Amino acid sequence: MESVSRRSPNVVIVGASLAGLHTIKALRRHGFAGQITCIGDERWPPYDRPPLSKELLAGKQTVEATRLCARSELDNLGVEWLLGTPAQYLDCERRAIHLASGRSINFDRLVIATGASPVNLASAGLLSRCLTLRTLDDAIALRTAASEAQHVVIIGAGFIGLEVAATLSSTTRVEVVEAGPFPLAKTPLGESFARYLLQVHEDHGVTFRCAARVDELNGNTDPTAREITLADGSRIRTDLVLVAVGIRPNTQWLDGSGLLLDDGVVCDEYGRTSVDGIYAVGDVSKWFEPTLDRHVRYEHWAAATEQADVMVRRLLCDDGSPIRCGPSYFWSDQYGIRTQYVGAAMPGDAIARLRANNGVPAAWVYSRDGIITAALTHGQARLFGRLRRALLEKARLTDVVDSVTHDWDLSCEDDP
Amino acid sequence: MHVEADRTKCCGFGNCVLIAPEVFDISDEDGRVVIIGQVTDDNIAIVREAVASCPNSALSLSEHR
Repeated sequence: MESVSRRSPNVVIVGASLAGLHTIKALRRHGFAGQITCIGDERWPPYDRPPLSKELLAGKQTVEATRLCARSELDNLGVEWLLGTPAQYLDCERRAIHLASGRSINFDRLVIATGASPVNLASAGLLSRCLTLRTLDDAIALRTAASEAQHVVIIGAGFIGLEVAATLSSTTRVEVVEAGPFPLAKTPLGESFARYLLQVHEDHGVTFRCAARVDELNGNTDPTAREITLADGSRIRTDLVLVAVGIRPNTQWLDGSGLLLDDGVVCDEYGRTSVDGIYAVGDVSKWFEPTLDRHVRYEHWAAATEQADVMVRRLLCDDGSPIRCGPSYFWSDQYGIRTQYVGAAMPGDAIARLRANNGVPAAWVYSRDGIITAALTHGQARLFGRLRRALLEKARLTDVVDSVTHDWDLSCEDDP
Repeated sequence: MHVEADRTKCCGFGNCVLIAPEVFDISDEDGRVVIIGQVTDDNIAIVREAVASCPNSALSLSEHR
């Protein structure tokens, strides 16, 4: 394919959230002066999602404060914004996007950044008018509904469910229903961290029902009289149900386009899809991860921003320094304490738990064949920095543990 | 030159601390950046690099205090 010069006429980006915005910023930062069009299905200009389950939900942050970019900065990017107009399908041959509004847009280069949507229990055949949380409109609806609720049930103890539980627990009674044996059971973070986090929640009054499957949801006609029946027959009466059981990549509009899809848009390690001139970034994309020798679909804020930069440099044919995303990073704030994770822990990795002298766990260090693969800390941001450096240096677990237990006065134990 | 941090934007990534540990640190209290050093003629280059490395543009350099 011919080199995409920086004066190439147009790049179309589908998706006006974090990954889309960072793509635009990276294009301009790297000198692209051509036309940029950004299509978004929501009516809002790009906003930040992390506050939706925390500060915004708690009423501590305004909608305006969630903007990812000030109005003036957005204007300076010189982008044609088509907001509130979902893309309907992609015609690879004619290199055109068809919008729900009936309009079609031609592109020279296309970046797919359509993100993901919550999985609802309705798809499992259950009656449902439950709330989910992904968008700003979702968050506003949840905030309003929660302000009138005495009791809230959250189905799903993943990070979103747990963050909402933490936020709402200060004003209402919260019960979390989780299908797995403990929170975060679908992640490779391990039972020890999950049980510790569960304890933190219980200390704040949140109750948990784990290994509990939802059988039936009643009360759909009257949202104030709601009852959940679990598979074991027990029932929970509640005022509000939030379903937080994961997300699914927004690829429906790409069905039949010819793009290779497999739980996301399949990409190489630079975000290039199976079709020349078409790229994908963020939650919707599944990049090849050379260090793991497989494709991975990240659902992390940091991955979206890093991928955008790597992809744009490749799109502009910048063959300078080697470009590669760093190890995966995410964070979660609950009860004002920041959990931080970096790396790529896998099931079967050895887990070392580091405790402070007062017995409180501080960090979990994951390793394989004696080499550190990932690190997780809870309220220990400076220790996290040290562990992140050790990970980048591919340090030996024993060396890392020796040095941080000494410097931070911690004790180490193997996690079963 | 003077470096500033918008702590509300900090996501605790820690790039700045890896690049310029004498100027940036992360607070154990809330996991967000804190400025612990001055910008000098000797470190301005790495401080610039650290500012540019922030994934959420939480850091900025300015001429005046």
